[in-house]
Amino acid sequence: MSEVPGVVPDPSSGSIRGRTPTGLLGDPAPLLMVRGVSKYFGGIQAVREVTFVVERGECVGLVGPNGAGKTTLFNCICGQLRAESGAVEFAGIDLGRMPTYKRARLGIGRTYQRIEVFPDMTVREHLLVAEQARRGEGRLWKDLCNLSRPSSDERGRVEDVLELIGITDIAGTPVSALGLGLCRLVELGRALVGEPQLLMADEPSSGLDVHETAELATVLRTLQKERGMAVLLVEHDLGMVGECVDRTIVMDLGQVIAEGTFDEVMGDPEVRHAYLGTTT
Amino acid sequence: MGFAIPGIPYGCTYALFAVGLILTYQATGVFNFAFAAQAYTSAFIFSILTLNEHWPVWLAFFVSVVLLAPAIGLAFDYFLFRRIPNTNSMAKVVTGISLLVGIPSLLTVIFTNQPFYNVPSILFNPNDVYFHLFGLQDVPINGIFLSTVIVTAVVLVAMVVLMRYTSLGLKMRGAVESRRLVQLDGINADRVVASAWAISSLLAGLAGVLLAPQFAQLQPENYITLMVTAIAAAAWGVLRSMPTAALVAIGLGIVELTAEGYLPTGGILYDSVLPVLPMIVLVAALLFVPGMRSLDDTKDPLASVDPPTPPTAAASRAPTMDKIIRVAFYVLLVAFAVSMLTWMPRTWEGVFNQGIAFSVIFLSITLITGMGGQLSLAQATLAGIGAFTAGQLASHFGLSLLVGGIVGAALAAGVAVILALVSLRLKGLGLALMTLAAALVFDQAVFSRTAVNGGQSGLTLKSKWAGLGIFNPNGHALFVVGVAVLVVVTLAILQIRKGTIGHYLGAMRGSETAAAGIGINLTWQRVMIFALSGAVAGIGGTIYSLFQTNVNANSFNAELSLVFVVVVVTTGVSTVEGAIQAGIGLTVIEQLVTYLPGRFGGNSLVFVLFAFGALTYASHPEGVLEFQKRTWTTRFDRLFFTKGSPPGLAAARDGGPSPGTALPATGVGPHE
Amino acid sequence: MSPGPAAATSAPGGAAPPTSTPALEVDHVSAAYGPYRALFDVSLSVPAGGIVALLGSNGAGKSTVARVVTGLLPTTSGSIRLDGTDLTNKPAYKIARAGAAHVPEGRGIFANLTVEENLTLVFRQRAGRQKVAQSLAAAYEAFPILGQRRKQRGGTLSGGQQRLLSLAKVLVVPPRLLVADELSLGLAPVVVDAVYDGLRRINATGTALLVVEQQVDRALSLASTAVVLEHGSVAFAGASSEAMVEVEKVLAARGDRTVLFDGEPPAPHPGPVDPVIQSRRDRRWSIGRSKREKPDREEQS
Repeated sequence: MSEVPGVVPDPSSGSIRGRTPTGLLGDPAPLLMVRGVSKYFGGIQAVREVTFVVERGECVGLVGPNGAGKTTLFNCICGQLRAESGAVEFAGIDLGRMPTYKRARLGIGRTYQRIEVFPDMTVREHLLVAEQARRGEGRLWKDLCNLSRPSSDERGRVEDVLELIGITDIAGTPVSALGLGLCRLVELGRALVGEPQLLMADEPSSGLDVHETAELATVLRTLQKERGMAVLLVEHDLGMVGECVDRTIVMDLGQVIAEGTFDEVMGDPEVRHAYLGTTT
Repeated sequence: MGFAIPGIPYGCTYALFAVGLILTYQATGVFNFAFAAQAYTSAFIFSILTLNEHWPVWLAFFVSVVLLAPAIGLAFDYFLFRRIPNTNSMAKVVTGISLLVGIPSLLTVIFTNQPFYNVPSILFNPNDVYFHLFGLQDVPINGIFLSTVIVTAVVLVAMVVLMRYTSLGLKMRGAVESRRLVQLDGINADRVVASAWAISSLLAGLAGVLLAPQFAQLQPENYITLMVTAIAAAAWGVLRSMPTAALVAIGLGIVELTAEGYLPTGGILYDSVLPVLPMIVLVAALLFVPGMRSLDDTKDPLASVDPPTPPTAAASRAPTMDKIIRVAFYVLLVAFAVSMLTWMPRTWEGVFNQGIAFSVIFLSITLITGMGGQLSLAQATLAGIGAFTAGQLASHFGLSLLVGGIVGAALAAGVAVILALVSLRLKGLGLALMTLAAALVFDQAVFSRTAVNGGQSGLTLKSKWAGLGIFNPNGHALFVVGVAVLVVVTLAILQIRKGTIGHYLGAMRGSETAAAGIGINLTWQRVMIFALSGAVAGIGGTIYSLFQTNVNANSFNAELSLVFVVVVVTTGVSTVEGAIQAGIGLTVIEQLVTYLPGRFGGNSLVFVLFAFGALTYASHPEGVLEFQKRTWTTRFDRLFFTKGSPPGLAAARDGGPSPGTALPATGVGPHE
Repeated sequence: MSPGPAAATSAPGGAAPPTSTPALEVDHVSAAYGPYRALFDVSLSVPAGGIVALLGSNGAGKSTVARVVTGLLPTTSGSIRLDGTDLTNKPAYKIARAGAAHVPEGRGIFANLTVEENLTLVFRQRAGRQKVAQSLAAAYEAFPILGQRRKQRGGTLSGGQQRLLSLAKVLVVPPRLLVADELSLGLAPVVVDAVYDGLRRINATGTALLVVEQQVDRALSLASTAVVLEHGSVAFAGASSEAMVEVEKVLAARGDRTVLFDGEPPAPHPGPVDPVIQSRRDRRWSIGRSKREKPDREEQS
């Protein structure tokens, strides 16, 4: 969990800006590259020639009105949907037709717009199974010979994440007994246990109250600084977006209509018209 | 031509059932496997009234179809299906199957077994030829044809109009998705769904009575066979379009009759392909019709109003209580083993042995349904593959049953893997139908062949004890082998459940999307659990045939698969002890039933008992025994271990302090 | 997007006289989800034609109150009166017919029915067969996006469009009491503006509103009275101007995670606080306050 080299925190603007870390060959390599991705969904073109990058260690906000195609885009990046055209590259690897689970193992973590927790399990079990899933296929003979128990390393990692997110006190509670805010934190923990290079968070503060949202923002920020994790964040809570992100992309009707710093983008007249309205 | 035209009314019988199935599914959300049983019931009562009591036809029709049939449907709704949330696909299928299995048996028990021949027709006289189509002498249109075609056409039009153009149809389609949301619009959802059941049951009764004259003897199997073909036709209509399904049904009828006419009897096509034609059509629909992959997929937006499902009995026990139960279990086990080896009378030893065999087969259901979360209606078939393989190897090659059993298990696992690969995109109802199709294909095309089943007398297995190399304590070798296998399989399953595979499957049961998102290879897990389940079923089949010493073509048929599922689900499908209790319970009850006077219908009573036990599944999806266990452990706990408050959920799980019971989401549950 | 609907049918007229029966009275109501208790002795009332905001942290019981009022969840004790009529534990459809409407959180529409069928279902019931066509026309005029997609299945609409559809169901044929559960959840700000405009309009025609909200400032800009829930009981009930302080108190005091039957609550979680974020958090709150005082002022970054 070392700091990302070459990145200098800039206290005056409150955001992390710096040189992009260089790859092995000395070229700056964006972590995630989305190029010309298009997708029809439900009879309409949900995503239209979308192109953008996410650099290592960078936090990018993706905002836009409903129906803009943000979740569809997420699903294309993660492999749940297959884009009709365009390409998605992660850490230099073309994801092509790779199935979702392989993309996850490459280092993409994800939370979902509608909560997808495992109702039968406790919080700790959620994180444990995510930790185990990093090992790859469950080995049948290992299970039979009782060699599958999580090692102390693995359990330690799980405890670390629990503490980082601040849910150690409810680690033993079945998730079906928890409210939405805590479930979202559990999902976040589950995504983080795999130590992803990129976290894709789809409306993580939806349904959370002000304090829970602030906690979430803090956690994301900490992760970015301490682990050099990149974050692609879809959000409607603009306060949270403003606090967390280094760069903002605005989508509407499947296309990118603005890109830049948060303030630049929020001042863009087209964005105001399509998304913000007049009273914000 | 002479075959094609009669194929139309023949196909119309299928079409009538298909329309009824689709209507039920669209209007109530339930794929009603019990449709055939409802049809049979009305026909049965009709027959009693006309043939035994000599009532006039119209009066008997009125009572059995207009009065009785909707009443049965309303009872289904009120007592059963209303309690099942719409997204619980498994509960709906299992309840439907238990009704299918139980109702004909119930009729036998109530009215005693009586055959009915030549049931009178309600419309035209069946044998009178009314006219000749196009004046051709070889295309006679007789009473049956007319009745069937006219009624089918009328029903089809009426139901399409109902669902698409009436206000009631709109309300029904809304209520299927979410009763609560419909209520918020000011509509009495319960009454809407009740009318849906009444109408659909009326159709079932009508179909039953209309078609009864066609059968030489009235039997439930007639209707079940009809229903299978109807399911294939309905699948092509994506369980939604009644005209498409009717068309496919009629097409099937024409093809079947024409093939029957032209194909040489005794040839492979006639013997093996023709009987499985409907299953092939069904499989094709499941594979190629996109809508069949996402049946029962829409979630009720107001589902979070339901309280969360309670934890299993095991999870809510206090640790001390847990230890007591474990110790008691081992003591019981040892006592049982000792008894079997010493004083148990021969009959009862046989009963328990057979129970052990069933338990092993049932453990395969625990694997695929309890752990894998998918309903498989082909477990008896897989057991049969194991049994027949081992038996044939023993008979023809003198192979020891130990080796034969392993080969059989491997073969069964292989078939299960093929099944898994073929149905990768299917889940829930779609997957259940695929397994049912597979079971039926095996019934008709594989198990029916003399090369497999050993002919009329069946396959006799000589126990090759020498090959097994174990000692024979007082002639109880069978028991020792059975128990040994059961213990090994049980331990293996417990280990798997504790290990990574068990956790991965748990994640997949919770949310396939999220499971893939953390790196779980869904395909591999599914293939693996099918393979394991197939292997265990195969082993169980071999053990079963060992105890039976003789198996024949009907020993592992599709109906048995259905019965197995009903039995295991009643007792408890997610625990290992549920399977074992089911296995031994089944044979014990079968034995006890033989002590009752024959008036009670003998074996049918067993089916009735378990079928109606499974009806409690609606209220207790974890299994009625689990529910009883939890109730009793809670009471015990409260009395002895905690001071008057409900036991902590966390206590048995993490060994941590028990903070009491937490509130669930009062805002939005995890099912948002 | 046009900002609000025109009422298609005659709605209850004008402002209510001060001594009329309250539109909604919740009297010492307790409720539970199976064995889990959720509400403890909650009382509140919505005056005829008035607006009440229902606030509180997550899990406080706001949605539970909404469900109890509209009959989705039975009460274990207490009573509920709508316009003076006792409707405690009556089936939900009777309460709906008595004039209550509920926009549930989450989807709130039928995914398998088309947009037009979704609307027809409720209009036929609430407005009567004769007025269905008229109501549909009004709905499409108020929400053109729904008109464009009228033959599309509800499930193919985006989240926000689905919310608009569930609103169209209640705005076109205004009820006596509208219970709106987290309307702004997941909606773009410009859409939320339109939604709140619509609420103001039907309130002007006499519909009483019970607005459950996470976005405190929005709700308080609309409502004159607020009720703050905490752990299933009422922590504060009074004027909106005082409610903000109370809400802050409640949210800040929220230390324990889950409500317990017995045993000690675990110690409140301290949480790391990034000073950068803390300063922005303070600024954000002031933005909210200034929004309430001067609604026409542009946002300051």
